[in-house]
Amino acid sequence: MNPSPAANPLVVTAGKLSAALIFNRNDDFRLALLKRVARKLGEDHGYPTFIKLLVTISESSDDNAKRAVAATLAIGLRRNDLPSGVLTAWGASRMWQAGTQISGALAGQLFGSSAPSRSFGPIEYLTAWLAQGTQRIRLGDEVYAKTLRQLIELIDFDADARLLYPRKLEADTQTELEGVYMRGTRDRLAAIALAWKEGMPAHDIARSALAAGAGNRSSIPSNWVLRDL
Amino acid sequence: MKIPADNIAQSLLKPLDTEAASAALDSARLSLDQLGTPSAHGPDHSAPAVAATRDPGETMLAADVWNGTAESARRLDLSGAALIQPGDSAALDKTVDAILAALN
Repeated sequence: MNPSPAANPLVVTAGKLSAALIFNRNDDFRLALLKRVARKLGEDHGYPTFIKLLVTISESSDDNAKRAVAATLAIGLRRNDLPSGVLTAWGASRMWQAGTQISGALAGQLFGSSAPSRSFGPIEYLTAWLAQGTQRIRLGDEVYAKTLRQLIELIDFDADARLLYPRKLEADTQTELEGVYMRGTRDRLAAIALAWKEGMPAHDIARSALAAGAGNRSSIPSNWVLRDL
Repeated sequence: MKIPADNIAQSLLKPLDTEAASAALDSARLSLDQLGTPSAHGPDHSAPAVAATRDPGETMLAADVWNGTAESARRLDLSGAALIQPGDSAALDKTVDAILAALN
């Protein structure tokens, strides 16, 4: 017999986090709390756990919880201060692209903790994890699409967040800050922003993001091996 | 400056062994390939040394924490939250610790 989901540590934690955000209405407190949770989990290895907490809330039937979390993300979006996770900058990742186990160990030996890194919000983190070489083993399409859909469904619970997040992604894709996004990541984020602004369902937005990456691949001769630049 | 060459018994430059050099280059290229240089087709999950293991973060994201429970029955336990005064940093820390206790 499967254990009750109510006993799952992630479900328990998601409940406590939601409750704290529901019962404390102060914007500063809510954002500080969400950011502190992300940071305490660990901005490097712990950030996927933070994303999992968000999608656990997204998958729940508690609309109050979803509204509270989405409203808190909206505060972060308004202040350009989302809870963020850290991935290595793509230019710094060339020595260990694709994030294999071997490459992760090599990266540690070569750079220790000094490898250049960049901070990303949840959707940006997920997309960079999928599309560019980082310290993590590259994320698979299926889990990416599912998690992205769940994040978007959660964010859609707050009108401000739903308006601001695609705008942020669009603005991100138009900047040329070195070492932040590779072309594949940029294309996917642009596809998400466009589809989201057009009011497409979350499922279709996620499919658009995957298709944006597939377009890049199909235009390249099959026997070519390229660097992801 | 003159470099004394009296003690050099044989030429420092040897004829190139092309077969050995070719084998060495192939070996080096193979090593680089095994480091996971990504192809234009993205990660190849069937390649043995490149992506045999999933990232633990991906495994966690893929996990069904609700154990197949119907969506309408996926209730979060929202009890036990305390009202915190804004700016009370110590209370914020305690709240975060309480929230994350189950994961620790």
